[in-house]
Amino acid sequence: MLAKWKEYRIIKKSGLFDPAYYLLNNPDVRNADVDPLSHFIKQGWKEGRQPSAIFDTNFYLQKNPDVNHSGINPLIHYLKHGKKEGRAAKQIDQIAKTENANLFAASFEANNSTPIITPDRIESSKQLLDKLQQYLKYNDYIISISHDTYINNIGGVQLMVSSEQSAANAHGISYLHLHPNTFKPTLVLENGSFYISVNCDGKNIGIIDDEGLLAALKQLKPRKLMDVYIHHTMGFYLNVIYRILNEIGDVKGRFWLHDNFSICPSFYLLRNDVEYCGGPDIDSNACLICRYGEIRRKQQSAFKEFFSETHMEVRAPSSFTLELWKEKVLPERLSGIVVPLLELKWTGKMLPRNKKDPVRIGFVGFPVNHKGWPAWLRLMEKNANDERYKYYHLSSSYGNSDECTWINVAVSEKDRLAMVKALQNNKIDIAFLWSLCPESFSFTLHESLAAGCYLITNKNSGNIQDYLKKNPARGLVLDNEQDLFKLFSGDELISYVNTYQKNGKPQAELIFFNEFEESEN
Amino acid sequence: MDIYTSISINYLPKARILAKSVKKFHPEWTFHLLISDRLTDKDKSAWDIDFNKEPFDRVVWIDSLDVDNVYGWIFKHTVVEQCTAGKGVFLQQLIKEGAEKIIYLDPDIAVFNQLNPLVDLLDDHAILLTPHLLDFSNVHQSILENEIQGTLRHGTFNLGFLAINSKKDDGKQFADWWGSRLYNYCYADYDSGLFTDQKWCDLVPSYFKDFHVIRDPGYNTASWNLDKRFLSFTDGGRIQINYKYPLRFYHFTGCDSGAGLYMTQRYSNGNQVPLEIWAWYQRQLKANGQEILRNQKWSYDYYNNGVKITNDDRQIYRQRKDLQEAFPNPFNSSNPIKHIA
Repeated sequence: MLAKWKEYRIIKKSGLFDPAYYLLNNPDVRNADVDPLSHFIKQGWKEGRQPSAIFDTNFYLQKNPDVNHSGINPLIHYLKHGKKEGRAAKQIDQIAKTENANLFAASFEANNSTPIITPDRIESSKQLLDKLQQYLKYNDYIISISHDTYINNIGGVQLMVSSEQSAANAHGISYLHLHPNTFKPTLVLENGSFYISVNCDGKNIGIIDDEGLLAALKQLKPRKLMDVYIHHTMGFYLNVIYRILNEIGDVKGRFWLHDNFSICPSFYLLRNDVEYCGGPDIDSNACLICRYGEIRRKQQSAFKEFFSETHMEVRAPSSFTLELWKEKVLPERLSGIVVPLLELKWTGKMLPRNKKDPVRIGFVGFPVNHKGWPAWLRLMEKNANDERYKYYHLSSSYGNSDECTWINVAVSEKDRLAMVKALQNNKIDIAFLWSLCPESFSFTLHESLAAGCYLITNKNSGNIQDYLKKNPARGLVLDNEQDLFKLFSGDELISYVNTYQKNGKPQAELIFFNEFEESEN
Repeated sequence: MDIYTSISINYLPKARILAKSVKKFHPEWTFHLLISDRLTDKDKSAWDIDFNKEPFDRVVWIDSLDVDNVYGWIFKHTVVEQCTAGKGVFLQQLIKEGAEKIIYLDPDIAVFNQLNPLVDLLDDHAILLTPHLLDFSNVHQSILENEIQGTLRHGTFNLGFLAINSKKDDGKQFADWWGSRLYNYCYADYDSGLFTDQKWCDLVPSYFKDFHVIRDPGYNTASWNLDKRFLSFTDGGRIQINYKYPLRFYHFTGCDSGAGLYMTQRYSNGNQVPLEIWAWYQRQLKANGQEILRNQKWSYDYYNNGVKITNDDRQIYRQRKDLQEAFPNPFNSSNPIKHIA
């Protein structure tokens, strides 16, 4: 058996693994923010997931029982032996279909619930109560709710939850984090056996059903519940949150809008994962033909009931997100405020670019469809012979393109400035932030600005375009790809960049939002 | 407003989708379903069919129609021919019953936005028709497939849609003329210049004055006209054609064979929207019983003793008056055609 790293190298080199395709078709992987190829090698192929539109895992295993019995990753087998032996990578007549119609979230359709982790089951509320008393470090505590465990997964929301826990603990407040024990890309809409995984101050203490949890929380004395922070409700049963707010302590609760999940389970607001739809009326043609339409209708009524019966404060990381949410969800009883996840403190200037050198353009972030990766590939292809430009891709995930230089950058809680440093070190002049759907906040926007980049975005990019409309000197908002190609073929872009860097590249510090610092002030 | 479609039982999933899509926008319209097939109670329970719960206001069986020698008539037709022939005869029956404005839609159509403009157009015109093509293309492939092999062979107008106002002279006369032709000559007989009900309507502009050709591309969008119809969404989420016209109804021609999706991919020029609509339709089919019903055999393809009727049997019966007189209900016979011929 090949070592995993060797498999990784073979597959990566082959071009038969398309990270964008993989992330697009596997929202749970996308959501977990893990390296897609590692995921495929570790478990994805065993779960019948497709590495790209060109290779069909299930077809290959069905057609080749010898491979199926061997337990070898079928893609590795194909690359090492199958290809030479003339074995088919997939059924021929499926190829045309796959290129188009199958670009959907198949796992959403199947609505699979897959266990995230399988920690110890807590048998009774008494047992949970004992554990809570044992593991909660402080008397005052906060309940925090999100869709997965922030302890193992790294992503925007997880980073924030993680920092929130550190900050709470630093202020002598315990952090009781709850997340659904199984991954489900929608709300849980019916009462059933709903299991919740419980973390105390960063330590997982087990899973318990909702009734057991509520019974234990009611008896958690003399501890005091300070507030309930809801970061994400994916996979959660809203009724449990409602009961926590109403039955445990006298708190208002905070509901964070980290994305548009409370508008639609397609939280990027991409109809059929294909195109930005803006979350139109549920009776529209768009919702009719969208795979998320039916479940959106059910979620809408669940959220409506939830919002109308609570008094939570709604927090959005940007005014764009708050306004969109107000327009689409509009619970009149609730108040909403904008709390940016970080702010820029403009400091000094760095040396401007050498005008004799090509302008350096960076694609910042994951190479996936909704971040504009296909548009990026087309842009590089169109300008392949234009020596005025040089292309870079800054991400922890390789995008499988030779047209740009890949710079492996991983932002973590320990190294939150990794992207800013990478942009600066590689002297990136322009950040290409072509999100096809609204960014609720966009760390990459702020990182790129802090590193002195001039920005290019499109009109659907949410907070990115909103920022540029308010700060037009810092970048361009384009209508579509045609305008993008036109911009690159002309001379204006270079002169815009030169103007932006005229007195040196503007630099900024990132000041991260800290809930507890704020309340002290 | 009366609206109807015509099917054999394997098309029931499609008729369900159509009827639901019509009722979504026009709950007050009466939806009639003409079925050219026979169904036992056992079939109904096995295939989960309960006409009290179906989205149709009325179900009419082909052998209940008031026509001369109904079984002899049915025997002459293949399944496609029979479902098509029934369209004309049933149109006449609806008029006899007093229906005024009548729309026919093929079962493999789904309605996406309200059809009110048709109601208004029928105030001004007796007959409404939609051409297969509204604009010509100079691309060879499109000329070959959409003009030569498509429209010139099968008829200018696509009879997946027809609307008439029976209170207008031409509306009633058209129904009688067309119904009579379909009773007698509704065959897919290319050598004789016939293609079921469709080729007949090439004569409409000659015989009738009070007809109207719908030039709005939102009606009857299908793979054969997709190269000239660009589908996109408005900000409000409505599907529109050529950035202007709401999509009224889409025709999923060639759905079961796969040819429809293939041609749609070919003519959508990379636009995802038609493929999303197809994916939706396929999901709807699945949810409406397609897996069980699509492969059900046509009951009129068999003699009552279970022997399969061959094409030769039909052809001979179609041509021989003496056989038609001797065997008014040929289904009852035990392979009578071969015996006599």
